[in-house]
Amino acid sequence: MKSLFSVLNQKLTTIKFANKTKILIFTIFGGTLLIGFLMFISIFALKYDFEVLFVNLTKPQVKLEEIKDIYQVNIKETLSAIKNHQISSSEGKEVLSLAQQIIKKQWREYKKETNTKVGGLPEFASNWLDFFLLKSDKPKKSEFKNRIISNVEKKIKSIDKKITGIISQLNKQNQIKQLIDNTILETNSINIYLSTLITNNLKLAISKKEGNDRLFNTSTLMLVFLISLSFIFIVLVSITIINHFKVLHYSLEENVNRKTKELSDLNISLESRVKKEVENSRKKDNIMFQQARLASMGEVLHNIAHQWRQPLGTLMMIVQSFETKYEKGKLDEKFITSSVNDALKLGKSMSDTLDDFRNFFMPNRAKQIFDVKKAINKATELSRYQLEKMDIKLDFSQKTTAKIYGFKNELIHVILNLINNSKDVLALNTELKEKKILIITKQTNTKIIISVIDNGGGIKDDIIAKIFDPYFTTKHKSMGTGIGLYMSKQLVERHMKGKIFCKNIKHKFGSQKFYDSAMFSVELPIKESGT
Amino acid sequence: MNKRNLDILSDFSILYIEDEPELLKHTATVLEDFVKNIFAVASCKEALKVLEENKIDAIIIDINLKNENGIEFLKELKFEKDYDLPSIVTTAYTDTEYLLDAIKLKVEDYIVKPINIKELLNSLHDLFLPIVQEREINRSYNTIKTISAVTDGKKVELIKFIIKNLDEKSMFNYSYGDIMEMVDVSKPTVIKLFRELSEKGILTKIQNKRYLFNENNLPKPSED
Ligand SMILES: Nc1ncnc2c1ncn2[C@@H]1O[C@H](COP(=O)(O)OP(=O)(O)OP(=O)(O)O)[C@@H](O)[C@H]1O
Ligand SMILES: [Mg+2]
Repeated sequence: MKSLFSVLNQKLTTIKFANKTKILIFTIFGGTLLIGFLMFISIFALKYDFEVLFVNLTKPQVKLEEIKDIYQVNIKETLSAIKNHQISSSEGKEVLSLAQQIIKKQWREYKKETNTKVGGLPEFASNWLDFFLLKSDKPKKSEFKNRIISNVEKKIKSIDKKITGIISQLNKQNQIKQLIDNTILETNSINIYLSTLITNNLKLAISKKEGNDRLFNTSTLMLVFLISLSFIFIVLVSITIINHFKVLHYSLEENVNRKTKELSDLNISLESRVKKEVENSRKKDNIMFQQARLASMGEVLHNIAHQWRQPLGTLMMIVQSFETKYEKGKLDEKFITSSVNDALKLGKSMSDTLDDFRNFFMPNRAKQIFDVKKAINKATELSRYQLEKMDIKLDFSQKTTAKIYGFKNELIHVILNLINNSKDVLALNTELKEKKILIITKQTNTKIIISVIDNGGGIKDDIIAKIFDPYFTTKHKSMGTGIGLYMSKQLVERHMKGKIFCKNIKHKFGSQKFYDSAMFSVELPIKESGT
Repeated sequence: MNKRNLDILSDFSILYIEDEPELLKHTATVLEDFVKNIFAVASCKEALKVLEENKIDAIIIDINLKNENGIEFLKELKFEKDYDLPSIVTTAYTDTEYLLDAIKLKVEDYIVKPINIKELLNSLHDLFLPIVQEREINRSYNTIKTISAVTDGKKVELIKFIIKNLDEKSMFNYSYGDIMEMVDVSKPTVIKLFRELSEKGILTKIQNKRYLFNENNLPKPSED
């Protein structure tokens, strides 16, 4: 039993959860159905047996008993009374014929009752159950009983005939004495038969009852068996299902734990990732600065290239002039002196230009205290060529005396960016007669504000919030990268601890007319205010 | 091309426009040794003034002038002011932005800066050579005409006939009879001239009716 249980259990645990529930439902359903069916059948079978017991075997005994009584009391005693002349013949006649009728009627009823079929569902159930239980030993309606019945029938008829004879010959006392005695004898014997029949019927009933007991026992047993089987099965499946839930629960719990751990891990790694990203973005910024530096380097290089091209051309001309003068025999001292002088001057200016360039782009120079004015002048110097080319006039008030602490090149860079932006706007403006950029400074004890103003029309309202964003540009790809202002802002805010902001204003630029103008201002803390 | 005779430049006056003062000065210093007059100016306005007051033979102009454009100035001169002068442009750009305009204007040359003075002088030479040659031809023609006016007209006719009928190998294939049929000269004149030319090695008899004209033996024209 135990091993079977475990085998079953094992089998069940290997079954899928969905199938397990199916099995459970099936078992409950099937078990209940089977048990219900069996109970139903049993009840009907029992009812049938009871019915048979009562209607066929018990109730008719009353009739037999009555018949017996009538024979004993009415017939026998009346006959005795007639024989002893205790009653009148007419009286006797009346009693006897009445008794006769009653007996006939009772017998008929008895026969009828014993033969009533219970029928219907109970009989069907009983038969089915009998078949099911392989109970074929149906008690035969015994030969014995039949014989008794036929004997009783014969006796009844013969007694009846005799009584009829007696009744008809009541007047002839002598003749009927014999007949009466005979009849009394016969009544006795019929009573014996009737008693036997009753006994027999009772016996039958008892045996029937035993069968009934058997049926009851078997079906009870079967029911118990079925119920316990379904119960066991249901318990088993339920256990495995519960187990399944348990496993599920544990795995869920484990899952939750794992996920929680993962989450906390993620949290930790996120922190480090955020750190890394911040670092990355800083690196990116650096790269961007480098790019922007390269971009403005390109511009400055362009500037320098142009500033070099002219003196270089002149220098080459001077060198060639020596040859032609020599060929013409005109290479005199005066010519040589003046030409060499000119050449040296040109060379010097070229060398100066190169220095400007180098100073500006010298990387990683130490922080220093420097003159704001000089830085601004350097920026205007570096953009001079392009401004001239586009016929833009740049005016710088030169008023400030402030000195600040930081990287000089970075401030130059910022100013250069602002000038370049103004230049770009002005270059596109074809209607403007006079294109102007103004650099003014405003100074207090603690700070200096450098403003770059141009009469290019100002910044469009819809973009003004975005112009400091990285890569925001309204210019064509080849013209602008959109880094200029972003980088300037970073430099000013991070390195110089200052502020940069912009505003659209109206400015006269020294004329009669008010121009729509963009003003970019850089506010920086002053280190010391020079004399 | 082989070495040019830059001496021909010395007959011409040139207007040079360049806005870079140092370059203007030094280039002018070189050019003044080669040309008759060099007018070096820094702007188109000054250039116009020079043009009005002087006889200019050619213009050298920089394209990229301060606030001005050399090509535009040349256009103005050609189409509005009626100065049709040969010109050379200089430019700091190697790009071809103005090249098309320059070609349309029949600019003689396009010189990229820095200026190679030899290149510039050669350009000037090439620009002036046709002018010089045309002048030379004119002069020769006039010389001949003058000679024939003062000497024997028949001889000149005859020399003209000989030179005109030389074949590609400088051979002259005519008999005296042929000559006299075509040119109205007497036989003694023909014989006399042939002898004279033969003596100077100018016309050598190879065989009958075949003479070689030897250009190299012509006397060099006196320099003046
Ligand atoms: N002075 C100004 N007037 C009007 N608009 C301006 C001015 N300065 C900047 N802007 C606007 O702000 C935008 C962003 O400027 P920013 O300098 O950041 O980038 P950019 O000039 O377009 O490109 P980059 O500077 O990288 O070459 C410009 O595209 C332009 O539209
Ligand atoms: Mg910019």
